[in-house]
Amino acid sequence: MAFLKIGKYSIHYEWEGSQGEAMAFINGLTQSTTLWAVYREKLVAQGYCVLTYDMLGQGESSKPVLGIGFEDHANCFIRLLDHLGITKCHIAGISFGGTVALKTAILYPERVETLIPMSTFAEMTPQLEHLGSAFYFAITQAGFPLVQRLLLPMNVSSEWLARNKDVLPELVRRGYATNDPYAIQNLIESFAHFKSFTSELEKIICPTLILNGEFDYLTPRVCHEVLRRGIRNSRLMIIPRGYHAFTLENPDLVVRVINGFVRTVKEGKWQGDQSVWLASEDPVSEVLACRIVGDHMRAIPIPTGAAQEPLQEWVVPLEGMVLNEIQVPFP
Amino acid sequence: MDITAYDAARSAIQKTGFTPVVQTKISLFWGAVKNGNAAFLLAAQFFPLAPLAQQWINSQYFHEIEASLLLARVTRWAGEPRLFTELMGITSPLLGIGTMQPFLLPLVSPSVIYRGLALGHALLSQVRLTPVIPINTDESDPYVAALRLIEQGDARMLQTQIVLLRISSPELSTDEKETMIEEEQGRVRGAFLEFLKWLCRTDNGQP
Repeated sequence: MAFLKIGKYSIHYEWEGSQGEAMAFINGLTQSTTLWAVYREKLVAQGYCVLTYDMLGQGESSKPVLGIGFEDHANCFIRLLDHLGITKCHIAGISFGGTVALKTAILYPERVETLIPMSTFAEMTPQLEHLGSAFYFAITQAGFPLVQRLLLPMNVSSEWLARNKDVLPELVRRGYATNDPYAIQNLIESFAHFKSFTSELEKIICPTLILNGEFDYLTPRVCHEVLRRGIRNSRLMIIPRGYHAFTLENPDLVVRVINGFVRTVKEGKWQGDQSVWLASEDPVSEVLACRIVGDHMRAIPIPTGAAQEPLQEWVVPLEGMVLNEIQVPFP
Repeated sequence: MDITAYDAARSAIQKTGFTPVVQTKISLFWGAVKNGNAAFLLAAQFFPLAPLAQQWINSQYFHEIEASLLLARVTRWAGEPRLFTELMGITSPLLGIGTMQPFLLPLVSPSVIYRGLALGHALLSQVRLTPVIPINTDESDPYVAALRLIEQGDARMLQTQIVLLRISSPELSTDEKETMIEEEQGRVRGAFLEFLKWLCRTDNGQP
């Protein structure tokens, strides 16, 4: 277990791999470095050096009681890169960590080789704002266990929950015991003064692959669409059947996608054309993804442009009803 | 908090259940913590504070008293005096007379008030007992229900504590404040780890 001292704070990190390009992962709100263990193992085996760390307020890092500003997270991350002598690296961040990754690419573009923002956002949509205040209300009025209970079904699929039902109580207990609720509260609070940085996305110049779970209700497609439109050198890839924490549920697929993306960039084949892709469900398929031709903003498959085949229609005659007589009960 | 310390304490409880000795240990420690914080809050009510802060401190005082009474009421007490003496060794770094006395002096400096608030915050945030409850425990058991209820109340109080720590003693620098907070966190963490080890010891006092 390694620590970097920044002033009076210490940052816990894990740095694995002896040679190869550096790749860093930035945690979501209640995550810790331990959750990236499988990524470290798989990516080190593929020739990367992998950096994971606990942000201030998380895991084994210091937990400032008086709070921490949102932008301090990006500065801390850069200090960690400096400490390890990493001049440039691939950065992946999920959810809260995704915003930190984006902010890092905006503030320190020279330090970012490629960027992989996952399940994240650059501005608070009204839905997200309400969710944020609901979580804040939950943690301050009923404590961290309620936040855990609310987050769990949003983060993963029913299949995953069913598969892991016997270990879930222990998982929740460990999460509660190892997190300091006041520090999580401070992290949530650091969003109280969160300012949209959508207008700054154009400063991100590195190849960027935005990953969004197909069924991510916490940060839905619209959040990622903002990123896709704002970052010129980007592509949006949808993780099939993925929820908010698809990194937890399907590490094989995510490792395949990240590695495939980085290799494409290194081989000079990357095209940051803001197109939208659906990742292959098979992590060992040579097909990394297929381009989406429908309206990717819809949850239902609405065909756009010229349909390949005529649509089958289900017709029910109106039987004497005149359209303008249909009243909408509530405007 | 160190998960291995929690795991060890939980395993010990899993073997015996919440026996009177286990309940007595928990209630003595948590009771001492609650009463210690209440003693500071009682004294703090006489400090010149903003009316809102005064109200918060007043409310926290009664919450701590309520928690302490609730736990005492549902505890099946073990009549073993040695537990009281053992407890003193664990809580003395936190709540010994020499440690608490400065908080209770009538003439106090801002740093004394602030340190008291920091200790209160550390007690509420570090002393969390529910992870020692074995997974298949009957949640309707009055003792288990009380542990959960008190911890839920503590979580609510933490919110107030954080605000108080931010707004109190403006004459102190952020650096001074953070140093005090860190020190109190460390002190409480150390005592709480000792307490968890104590829970692991069997009834005859052997590790």
